[in-house]
Amino acid sequence: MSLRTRLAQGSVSGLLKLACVLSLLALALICFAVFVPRPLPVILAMSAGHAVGGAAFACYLLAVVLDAMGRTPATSTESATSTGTKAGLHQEP
Amino acid sequence: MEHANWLGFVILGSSAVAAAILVWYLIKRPRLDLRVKLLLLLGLGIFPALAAASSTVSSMEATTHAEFCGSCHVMDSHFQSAIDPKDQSLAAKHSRNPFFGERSCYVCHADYGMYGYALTKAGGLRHVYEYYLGGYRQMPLEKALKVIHLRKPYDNLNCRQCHTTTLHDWRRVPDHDALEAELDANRVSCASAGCHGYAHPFTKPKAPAENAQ
Repeated sequence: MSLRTRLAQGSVSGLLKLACVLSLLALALICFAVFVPRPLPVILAMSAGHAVGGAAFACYLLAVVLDAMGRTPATSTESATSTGTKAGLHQEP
Repeated sequence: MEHANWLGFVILGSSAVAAAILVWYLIKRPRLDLRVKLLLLLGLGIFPALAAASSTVSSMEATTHAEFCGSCHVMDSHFQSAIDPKDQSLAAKHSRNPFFGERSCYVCHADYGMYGYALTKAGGLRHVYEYYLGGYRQMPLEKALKVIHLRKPYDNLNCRQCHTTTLHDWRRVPDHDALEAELDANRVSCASAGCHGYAHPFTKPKAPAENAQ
Protein backbone atom coordinates (compact mmCIF):
# COMPACT_ATOMS: atom_id res chain seq x y z
CA MET A 1 0.00 0.00 0.00
CA SER A 2 1.52 3.32 -1.06
CA LEU A 3 1.96 6.23 1.29
CA ARG A 4 -0.56 8.21 -0.70
CA THR A 5 -3.15 5.48 -0.31
CA ARG A 6 -2.47 5.18 3.40
CA LEU A 7 -2.80 8.93 3.86
CA ALA A 8 -5.97 9.03 1.80
CA GLN A 9 -7.41 6.11 3.73
CA GLY A 10 -6.70 7.75 7.05
CA SER A 11 -7.94 11.11 5.82
CA VAL A 12 -11.20 9.73 4.47
CA SER A 13 -11.99 7.87 7.66
CA GLY A 14 -10.98 10.79 9.88
CA LEU A 15 -12.77 13.36 7.76
CA LEU A 16 -16.01 11.41 7.84
CA LYS A 17 -15.76 10.99 11.60
CA LEU A 18 -15.11 14.71 11.95
CA ALA A 19 -18.01 15.52 9.59
CA CYS A 20 -20.40 13.39 11.67
CA VAL A 21 -19.35 14.98 14.96
CA LEU A 22 -19.51 18.52 13.54
CA SER A 23 -22.90 17.88 12.01
CA LEU A 24 -24.27 16.50 15.29
CA LEU A 25 -23.00 19.63 17.04
CA ALA A 26 -24.64 21.88 14.44
CA LEU A 27 -27.95 20.00 14.72
CA ALA A 28 -27.82 20.32 18.51
CA LEU A 29 -27.36 24.10 18.22
CA ILE A 30 -30.23 24.37 15.74
CA CYS A 31 -32.58 22.26 17.87
CA PHE A 32 -31.67 24.18 21.04
CA ALA A 33 -32.90 27.39 19.41
CA VAL A 34 -36.28 25.73 18.78
CA PHE A 35 -36.73 24.98 22.48
CA VAL A 36 -35.18 28.23 23.76
CA PRO A 37 -36.02 31.00 21.27
CA ARG A 38 -34.02 33.69 23.07
CA PRO A 39 -31.55 36.04 21.37
CA LEU A 40 -28.31 34.16 22.04
CA PRO A 41 -29.50 30.62 21.10
CA VAL A 42 -31.24 31.96 17.98
CA ILE A 43 -28.16 33.87 16.85
CA LEU A 44 -25.90 30.91 17.64
CA ALA A 45 -28.15 28.59 15.64
CA MET A 46 -28.20 30.89 12.64
CA SER A 47 -24.48 31.67 12.67
CA ALA A 48 -22.38 29.03 14.41
CA GLY A 49 -24.94 26.28 13.68
CA HIS A 50 -24.90 26.99 9.96
CA ALA A 51 -21.12 27.48 9.84
CA VAL A 52 -20.38 24.23 11.68
CA GLY A 53 -22.94 22.38 9.55
CA GLY A 54 -21.36 23.81 6.41
CA ALA A 55 -17.92 22.75 7.61
CA ALA A 56 -19.27 19.25 8.24
CA PHE A 57 -20.63 19.01 4.72
CA ALA A 58 -17.33 20.35 3.31
CA CYS A 59 -15.50 17.59 5.21
CA TYR A 60 -17.86 15.03 3.70
CA LEU A 61 -17.30 16.35 0.18
CA LEU A 62 -13.54 16.34 0.69
CA ALA A 63 -13.70 12.78 1.97
CA VAL A 64 -15.68 11.67 -1.07
CA VAL A 65 -13.22 13.39 -3.41
CA LEU A 66 -10.23 11.84 -1.60
CA ASP A 67 -11.93 8.46 -1.74
CA ALA A 68 -12.54 8.85 -5.47
CA MET A 69 -8.90 9.89 -6.00
CA GLY A 70 -7.72 6.91 -4.04
CA ARG A 71 -9.70 4.62 -6.29
CA THR A 72 -7.91 5.67 -9.49
CA PRO A 73 -6.79 2.62 -11.59
CA ALA A 74 -3.08 2.93 -10.65
CA THR A 75 -3.79 3.07 -6.94
CA SER A 76 -6.39 0.34 -7.14
CA THR A 77 -4.02 -2.08 -8.82
CA GLU A 78 -1.24 -1.25 -6.41
CA SER A 79 -3.52 -1.53 -3.43
CA ALA A 80 -5.02 -4.80 -4.61
CA THR A 81 -1.57 -6.28 -5.21
CA SER A 82 -0.13 -5.16 -1.91
CA THR A 83 -3.02 -6.18 0.29
CA GLY A 84 -4.45 -8.99 -1.73
CA THR A 85 -7.88 -7.55 -1.40
CA LYS A 86 -10.11 -5.50 -3.59
CA ALA A 87 -8.97 -1.86 -3.60
CA GLY A 88 -10.92 0.21 -1.14
CA LEU A 89 -9.94 3.08 1.06
CA HIS A 90 -12.31 2.46 3.89
CA GLN A 91 -12.02 -0.78 5.75
CA GLU A 92 -14.13 -2.50 8.33
CA PRO A 93 -12.91 -1.77 11.84
CA MET B 1 -47.11 31.36 15.35
CA GLU B 2 -48.92 28.41 13.78
CA HIS B 3 -46.42 27.99 11.00
CA ALA B 4 -43.58 28.39 13.49
CA ASN B 5 -44.97 25.36 15.29
CA TRP B 6 -45.00 23.09 12.26
CA LEU B 7 -41.59 24.40 11.28
CA GLY B 8 -40.41 23.29 14.71
CA PHE B 9 -41.58 19.78 13.90
CA VAL B 10 -39.77 19.91 10.54
CA ILE B 11 -36.56 21.04 12.27
CA LEU B 12 -36.75 18.41 14.99
CA GLY B 13 -37.83 15.64 12.59
CA SER B 14 -35.12 16.25 10.02
CA SER B 15 -32.53 16.69 12.78
CA ALA B 16 -33.58 13.40 14.36
CA VAL B 17 -33.29 11.52 11.06
CA ALA B 18 -29.90 13.08 10.30
CA ALA B 19 -28.64 12.36 13.81
CA ALA B 20 -29.80 8.73 13.56
CA ILE B 21 -27.84 8.26 10.32
CA LEU B 22 -24.73 9.90 11.77
CA VAL B 23 -24.79 7.96 15.01
CA TRP B 24 -25.34 4.73 13.06
CA TYR B 25 -22.29 5.53 10.93
CA LEU B 26 -20.12 6.41 13.93
CA ILE B 27 -21.05 3.19 15.74
CA LYS B 28 -21.09 0.71 12.84
CA ARG B 29 -18.33 2.30 10.69
CA PRO B 30 -19.50 0.46 7.55
CA ARG B 31 -17.44 0.15 4.37
CA LEU B 32 -17.67 3.35 2.31
CA ASP B 33 -19.55 2.09 -0.71
CA LEU B 34 -22.05 3.99 -2.84
CA ARG B 35 -24.97 3.13 -0.54
CA VAL B 36 -23.15 4.48 2.53
CA LYS B 37 -22.06 7.60 0.65
CA LEU B 38 -25.66 8.32 -0.35
CA LEU B 39 -26.83 7.69 3.19
CA LEU B 40 -24.19 10.08 4.51
CA LEU B 41 -25.26 12.63 1.89
CA LEU B 42 -28.71 12.47 3.48
CA GLY B 43 -27.31 12.65 7.02
CA LEU B 44 -24.71 15.35 6.37
CA GLY B 45 -26.32 17.28 3.53
CA ILE B 46 -30.00 16.96 2.78
CA PHE B 47 -31.58 16.64 6.24
CA PRO B 48 -29.27 19.16 7.98
CA ALA B 49 -29.91 21.62 5.12
CA LEU B 50 -33.64 21.15 5.60
CA ALA B 51 -33.26 21.69 9.35
CA ALA B 52 -31.06 24.77 8.80
CA ALA B 53 -33.43 26.35 6.28
CA SER B 54 -36.46 25.69 8.49
CA SER B 55 -34.65 26.99 11.56
CA THR B 56 -33.77 30.21 9.74
CA VAL B 57 -37.42 30.85 8.86
CA SER B 58 -38.57 29.82 12.33
CA SER B 59 -35.91 31.92 14.08
CA MET B 60 -36.64 34.99 11.98
CA GLU B 61 -40.29 34.56 12.89
CA ALA B 62 -39.39 34.17 16.57
CA THR B 63 -37.44 37.44 16.50
CA THR B 64 -40.61 39.36 15.60
CA HIS B 65 -42.45 38.31 18.77
CA ALA B 66 -42.83 40.66 21.69
CA GLU B 67 -41.75 37.90 24.09
CA PHE B 68 -38.43 37.73 22.24
CA CYS B 69 -37.91 41.48 22.65
CA GLY B 70 -38.93 41.27 26.29
CA SER B 71 -36.54 38.42 27.02
CA CYS B 72 -33.74 40.92 27.70
CA HIS B 73 -34.32 42.40 31.16
CA VAL B 74 -33.77 45.97 29.97
CA MET B 75 -36.94 45.63 27.87
CA ASP B 76 -38.98 44.05 30.64
CA SER B 77 -40.88 47.23 31.55
CA HIS B 78 -41.74 47.84 27.90
CA PHE B 79 -42.96 44.27 27.50
CA GLN B 80 -44.97 44.23 30.73
CA SER B 81 -46.57 47.54 29.82
CA ALA B 82 -47.46 46.30 26.34
CA ILE B 83 -49.18 43.16 27.60
CA ASP B 84 -50.95 44.84 30.54
CA PRO B 85 -54.67 44.93 29.63
CA LYS B 86 -55.24 47.97 31.86
CA ASP B 87 -52.29 50.04 30.64
CA GLN B 88 -53.32 53.14 28.71
CA SER B 89 -49.99 53.95 27.03
CA LEU B 90 -49.90 54.25 23.26
CA ALA B 91 -47.86 51.03 23.01
CA ALA B 92 -50.29 49.09 25.20
CA LYS B 93 -53.33 50.32 23.29
CA HIS B 94 -51.77 49.25 20.02
CA SER B 95 -50.67 45.90 21.45
CA ARG B 96 -54.30 45.12 22.26
CA ASN B 97 -55.13 45.53 18.58
CA PRO B 98 -55.19 42.07 16.93
CA PHE B 99 -53.29 43.45 13.93
CA PHE B 100 -50.31 44.08 16.21
CA GLY B 101 -50.97 41.27 18.66
CA GLU B 102 -47.95 39.23 19.71
CA ARG B 103 -45.75 41.11 17.26
CA SER B 104 -46.50 44.62 18.50
CA CYS B 105 -42.84 45.64 19.10
CA TYR B 106 -41.86 44.57 15.61
CA VAL B 107 -44.89 46.06 13.83
CA CYS B 108 -44.23 49.51 15.32
CA HIS B 109 -40.42 49.52 15.29
CA ALA B 110 -39.66 47.76 12.00
CA ASP B 111 -38.24 49.86 9.21
CA TYR B 112 -40.69 49.82 6.31
CA GLY B 113 -38.30 50.88 3.53
CA MET B 114 -37.33 48.67 0.61
CA TYR B 115 -34.58 47.04 2.66
CA GLY B 116 -36.55 47.47 5.85
CA TYR B 117 -36.52 43.84 6.91
CA ALA B 118 -32.75 43.48 6.52
CA LEU B 119 -32.09 46.86 8.17
CA THR B 120 -34.37 45.99 11.07
CA LYS B 121 -32.57 42.70 11.60
CA ALA B 122 -29.18 44.42 11.37
CA GLY B 123 -30.38 46.88 14.02
CA GLY B 124 -31.43 43.91 16.13
CA LEU B 125 -27.92 42.51 15.91
CA ARG B 126 -26.62 45.80 17.27
CA HIS B 127 -29.06 45.43 20.17
CA VAL B 128 -27.62 41.99 20.90
CA TYR B 129 -24.10 43.40 20.73
CA GLU B 130 -25.01 46.22 23.13
CA TYR B 131 -26.68 43.76 25.49
CA TYR B 132 -23.94 41.15 25.70
CA LEU B 133 -20.84 43.25 25.02
CA GLY B 134 -21.95 46.83 25.51
CA GLY B 135 -22.78 46.60 29.19
CA TYR B 136 -26.59 46.52 29.08
CA ARG B 137 -26.65 43.01 30.50
CA GLN B 138 -25.22 44.15 33.82
CA MET B 139 -27.23 47.36 33.88
CA PRO B 140 -30.05 47.60 36.45
CA LEU B 141 -33.47 48.20 34.95
CA GLU B 142 -33.88 51.59 36.64
CA LYS B 143 -30.67 52.83 35.07
CA ALA B 144 -31.48 51.23 31.72
CA LEU B 145 -34.78 53.14 31.51
CA LYS B 146 -32.86 56.39 31.84
CA VAL B 147 -29.88 55.52 29.68
CA ILE B 148 -31.25 53.48 26.76
CA HIS B 149 -32.97 55.48 24.05
CA LEU B 150 -33.78 55.12 20.37
CA ARG B 151 -30.76 55.99 18.23
CA LYS B 152 -32.81 58.27 16.02
CA PRO B 153 -36.24 59.88 16.46
CA TYR B 154 -39.15 57.52 15.95
CA ASP B 155 -40.25 57.78 12.33
CA ASN B 156 -43.81 59.05 11.82
CA LEU B 157 -43.91 56.95 8.65
CA ASN B 158 -44.25 53.90 10.90
CA CYS B 159 -47.49 55.37 12.31
CA ARG B 160 -48.60 56.23 8.82
CA GLN B 161 -48.45 52.63 7.70
CA CYS B 162 -51.91 52.37 9.26
CA HIS B 163 -52.93 55.98 9.92
CA THR B 164 -52.69 57.23 6.38
CA THR B 165 -53.48 60.87 7.32
CA THR B 166 -55.60 61.23 4.22
CA LEU B 167 -59.03 60.89 5.86
CA HIS B 168 -61.17 63.98 6.33
CA ASP B 169 -61.34 63.26 10.07
CA TRP B 170 -57.57 63.55 10.30
CA ARG B 171 -57.49 66.76 8.30
CA ARG B 172 -60.27 68.29 10.39
CA VAL B 173 -57.99 68.34 13.45
CA PRO B 174 -56.41 71.84 13.48
CA ASP B 175 -53.10 70.63 14.94
CA HIS B 176 -52.67 68.08 12.16
CA ASP B 177 -53.19 70.73 9.56
CA ALA B 178 -50.89 73.20 11.25
CA LEU B 179 -48.11 70.67 11.82
CA GLU B 180 -48.31 68.80 8.54
CA ALA B 181 -44.89 69.96 7.30
CA GLU B 182 -43.26 69.18 10.65
CA LEU B 183 -44.89 65.76 10.77
CA ASP B 184 -43.74 65.00 7.23
CA ALA B 185 -40.21 66.06 8.06
CA ASN B 186 -40.30 64.08 11.31
CA ARG B 187 -39.54 67.20 13.33
CA VAL B 188 -42.62 66.60 15.46
CA SER B 189 -43.51 63.11 16.59
CA CYS B 190 -47.06 61.78 16.59
CA ALA B 191 -46.12 60.15 19.90
CA SER B 192 -45.13 63.29 21.74
CA ALA B 193 -46.49 64.69 24.98
CA GLY B 194 -48.81 67.31 23.55
CA CYS B 195 -50.14 65.06 20.79
CA HIS B 196 -50.98 61.37 21.21
CA GLY B 197 -48.73 60.84 24.21
CA TYR B 198 -45.56 58.86 24.62
CA ALA B 199 -45.62 55.25 23.52
CA HIS B 200 -43.68 54.21 26.62
CA PRO B 201 -44.35 57.00 29.14
CA PHE B 202 -42.51 55.31 32.01
CA THR B 203 -39.22 55.92 30.16
CA LYS B 204 -39.72 59.70 30.25
CA PRO B 205 -38.77 61.91 33.18
CA LYS B 206 -41.81 62.90 35.19
CA ALA B 207 -43.03 66.49 35.04
CA PRO B 208 -42.32 68.60 38.17
CA ALA B 209 -46.02 68.58 39.12
CA GLU B 210 -46.12 64.76 39.01
CA ASN B 211 -42.94 64.53 41.05
CA ALA B 212 -44.46 66.73 43.72
CA GLN B 213 -47.40 64.36 44.18
